[in-house]
Amino acid sequence: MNLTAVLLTGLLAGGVSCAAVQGGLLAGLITRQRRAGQPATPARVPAGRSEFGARSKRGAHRTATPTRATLGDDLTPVGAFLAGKLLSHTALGALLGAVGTAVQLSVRAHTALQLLAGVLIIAFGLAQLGVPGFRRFVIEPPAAFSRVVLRSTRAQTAFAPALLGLASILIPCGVTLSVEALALTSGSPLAGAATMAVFVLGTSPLFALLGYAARKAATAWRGRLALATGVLVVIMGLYTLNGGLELAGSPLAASHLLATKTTTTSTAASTEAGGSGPSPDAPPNATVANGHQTITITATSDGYTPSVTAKSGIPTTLVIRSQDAQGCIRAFTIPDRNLQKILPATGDTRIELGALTAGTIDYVCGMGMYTGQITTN
Amino acid sequence: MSTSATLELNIQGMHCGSCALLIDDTLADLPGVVSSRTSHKDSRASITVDPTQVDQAQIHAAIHELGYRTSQT
Repeated sequence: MNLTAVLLTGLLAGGVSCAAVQGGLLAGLITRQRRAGQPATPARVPAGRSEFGARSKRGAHRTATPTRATLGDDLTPVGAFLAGKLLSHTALGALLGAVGTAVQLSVRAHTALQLLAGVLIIAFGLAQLGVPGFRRFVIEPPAAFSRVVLRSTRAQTAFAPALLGLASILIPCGVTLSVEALALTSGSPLAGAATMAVFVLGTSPLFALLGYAARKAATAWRGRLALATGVLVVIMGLYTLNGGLELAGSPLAASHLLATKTTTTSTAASTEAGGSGPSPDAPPNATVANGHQTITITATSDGYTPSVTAKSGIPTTLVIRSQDAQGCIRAFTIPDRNLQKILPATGDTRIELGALTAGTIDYVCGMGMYTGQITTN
Repeated sequence: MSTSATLELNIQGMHCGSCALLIDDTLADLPGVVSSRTSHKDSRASITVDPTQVDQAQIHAAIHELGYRTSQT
């Protein structure tokens, strides 16, 4: 699982999308709490609310007009909110990872799930962009969820910001939903939890900034937010869908589309060089000894290396050498054979392939993100 | 007893469920707003108000201030 991509998604998209609005909800909560801490005044602020900074600390200035609170006063509730949000989202991530792992027992079911998730995410993104016909894909939290969140913005306890943070799990936006889909296909409860945690952490800098600058600052670009998040959601949908296509071994998958473009040139090059394998210095990754062929593939945190060329007609063992393999790379899958092995982080995994026939065997990680090929002559 | 009236507004610019909540949350703080239900999916808000305490312009202004556009249905 590529957590850097998730972090970037959080930093760029999550921070400006739902988080900016949830910042508004939090600002409202804090305003109400601080107002409640002051002497009862019949007049209510007519429209909108003051910003975070324009309120006095709860209970500290009971008589004076609201004093400009310091940044520190405001960061406490923002921190509490983010802690609550991190907790609920990480827990959901772990749950999704666990559910996804259970489903992953069958490669076929996982492939179907991933294809469906990809198509749905693309539909969400198109709905966000206002493409006609996709309106019904707009995700709206059930009314009961909304009531829980609205109620928590009116709580008066010191834990209210943290509770609102916890409750924010009930009102996911398109970007959050697509990250939840990634958590679902992440391959383990831990990877799922990490995916969601990293995403929420990624959203926090912009959240703190926009939340602090409050509602008005975010309003200027809100129109563009819908567009930007929509595009991002479509991209994430295509990425998820492609993972499904890779798992299904579809010729439309990105690695196959790219392969058809590059194969001709690389085959020509390797024929000219008169050898197989990427570099002359590398140890051979398909060796034959005593009438038995052994193919070795290395699984690292960056994927699988290399794609290998093997001989047909000889009983063959595939050895996958894990060197700090992580996340979905550990779910080594050969879709054509409906085979999936969970690799150790470090160590060898042996798979008996039998006598190979001429052709190619595609292998792929559990999410369809990393791919490779065994070509048999 | 005061009378109440229902206002139906089209709202543009919402991009997720939180936007709808933010509008409801803000309107709930306006004196004279009895209840409101905003739907992101329908781009619409249904607001019950006490017309003696709040006028339509104030409702529109409160929503505009949040960065959304409104129009009468």
